[in-house]
Amino acid sequence: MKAVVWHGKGDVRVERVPDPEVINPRDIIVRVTSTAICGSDLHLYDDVIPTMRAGDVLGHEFMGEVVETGPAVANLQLGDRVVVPFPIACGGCYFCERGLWSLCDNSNPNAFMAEQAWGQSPAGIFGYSHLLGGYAGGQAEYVWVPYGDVGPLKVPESLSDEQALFPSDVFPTGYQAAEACGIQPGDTVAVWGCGPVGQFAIISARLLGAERIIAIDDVSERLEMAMHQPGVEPLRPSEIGNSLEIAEALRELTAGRGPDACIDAVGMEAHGIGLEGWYDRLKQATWLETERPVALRQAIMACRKGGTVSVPGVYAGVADKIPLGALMNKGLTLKTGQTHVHRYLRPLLQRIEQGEVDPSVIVTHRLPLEQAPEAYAMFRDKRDGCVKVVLKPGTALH
Amino acid sequence: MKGERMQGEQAEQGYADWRNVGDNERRLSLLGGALASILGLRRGGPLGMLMAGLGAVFMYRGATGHCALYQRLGRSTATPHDKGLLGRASGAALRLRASVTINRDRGEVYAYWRDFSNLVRFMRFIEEVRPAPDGRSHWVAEVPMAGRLEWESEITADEPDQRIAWRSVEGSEIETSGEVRFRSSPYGTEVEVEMSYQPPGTAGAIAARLARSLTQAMLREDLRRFKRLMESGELPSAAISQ
Repeated sequence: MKAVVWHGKGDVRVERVPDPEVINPRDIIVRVTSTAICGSDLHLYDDVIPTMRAGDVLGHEFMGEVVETGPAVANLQLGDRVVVPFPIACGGCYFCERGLWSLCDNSNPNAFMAEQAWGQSPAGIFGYSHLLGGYAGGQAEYVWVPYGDVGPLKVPESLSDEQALFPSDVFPTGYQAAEACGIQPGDTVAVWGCGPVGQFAIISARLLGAERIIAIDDVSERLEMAMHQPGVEPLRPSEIGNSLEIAEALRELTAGRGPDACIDAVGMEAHGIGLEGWYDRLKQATWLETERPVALRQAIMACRKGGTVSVPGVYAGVADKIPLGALMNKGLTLKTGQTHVHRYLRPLLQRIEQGEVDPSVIVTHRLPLEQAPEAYAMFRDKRDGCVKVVLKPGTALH
Repeated sequence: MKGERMQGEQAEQGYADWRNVGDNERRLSLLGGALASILGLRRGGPLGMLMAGLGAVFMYRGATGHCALYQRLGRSTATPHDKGLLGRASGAALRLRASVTINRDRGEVYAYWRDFSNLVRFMRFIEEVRPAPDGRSHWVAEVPMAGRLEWESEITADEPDQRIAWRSVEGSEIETSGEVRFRSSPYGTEVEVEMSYQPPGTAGAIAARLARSLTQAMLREDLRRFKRLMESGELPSAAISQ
């Protein structure tokens, strides 16, 4: 089959790789009908996530048709149209049982690696390095989906692929991030990063009762998209200045208080400006720091006392100059985590079905799978107004 | 289940075989080498450079655990069973200990372990455990580079839902004993395992090879597989993408 394969920094290719097979009784095989490129895929593309190997298949946002099931799968049949959560969860461990699906104890075969990096291992993830399981990803014609009786959910007939695809990752990621803020009526929420996760964080914050949402980004198309939601106002960091000035601007916008909640939907490859930007880039280049946590620093400095900083943005290693003094002395709550997608699949699909949200509005580009290399470059450089690319694999296998 | 070799296992085994410097010696080597390098560089001149060079070599063997000289001489200090610098092994027994939390009731976990034939599903080097006369069990292990080992074991303690202890019978090819304890917790069952191995005789290549493979990390991974079988009924493996 054809798949999008990683070969190094800035180098993805579409190649033929072996077809996946059912290995365990609970596995299923999905023929992918639509798959998207995620902002976190760019961390792989930029080679800042360790343990990648040439030949790894990328992609963790995908949906399609069930074409094979293991003998122990009772809830799905051949031909069912399903959307698949990006974290892989067994359903039987302490964490899965409590709805903490992205913390599954059992789905990462390389748990010993993640334990060395982080103390304990989270769940395995499709197409996201060997540290997280070495699973082949969904930017391919077919995907091997373990624990097929736990993750994948049947999609209502009435929804198109583009309406049903984003519950696999970016929609619940934005939603969980907004939910973590504990939004009260009348609250102001600041969202760093207006990529797809930021867009859904903004939509979700609105759904959860935020009155004002400050969308922080420098890309015009992304700010415009965000402002389709009522109550959203833009803030362009390049027009304000450095991190301290941005925190000041956010206090001004909230009559001196600071936003009630701050969402960092940017993560480890934030754009810093001025001295701060150079500091992080230099340290990252010399391996003294693995992240550029610019957005996180700003969120902590700007957040109102007793507020919540919510971090869906992906981080991998260690970072520098985090304002711990501000975090502690302002009594902030820091909420983080990979998304517990399984928890949100049904409720979000329901909201989509009922017309409350149309996730397809974030799609700016639709391309055949074979054009993945161009798509990655365009997405990384934010060219052509690119916000979200959906890739469509070819038809038959043989 | 045996077919599911995780990629990490092969890497682990390869490193275990290449490593021939023991842990304490590694630390000394690293520190001593660093000191020699610094002093050598400060001194300068041909003698200083020599010191720095030697320092670098010692730092390398400290950092990686591999000594080219030892390899040449067929020596190793990696485990108590290796022929050390002076050609003698200490021959101490290997003791391993690890624990894991399993999200299942104590009775269920105990019953799974008590059926020793289940052990092959998660113990990496155990090939077979079958019943033998007089309530004993016959074990077969296959350890890389150490070969095939067989022995008979008897149960020395069996407290249902709480504890099982076993020990190889007199005159076995390998002296081994183990104990597993089960304790209830809000998280399910806490399982604590202790095992010890004593190859007969003092030195010997087999003993050294065993010591390389039968490690703390191995026991932890065995228990991780045990947990995964109990909680999800299967073992995860990475899909083949290259």
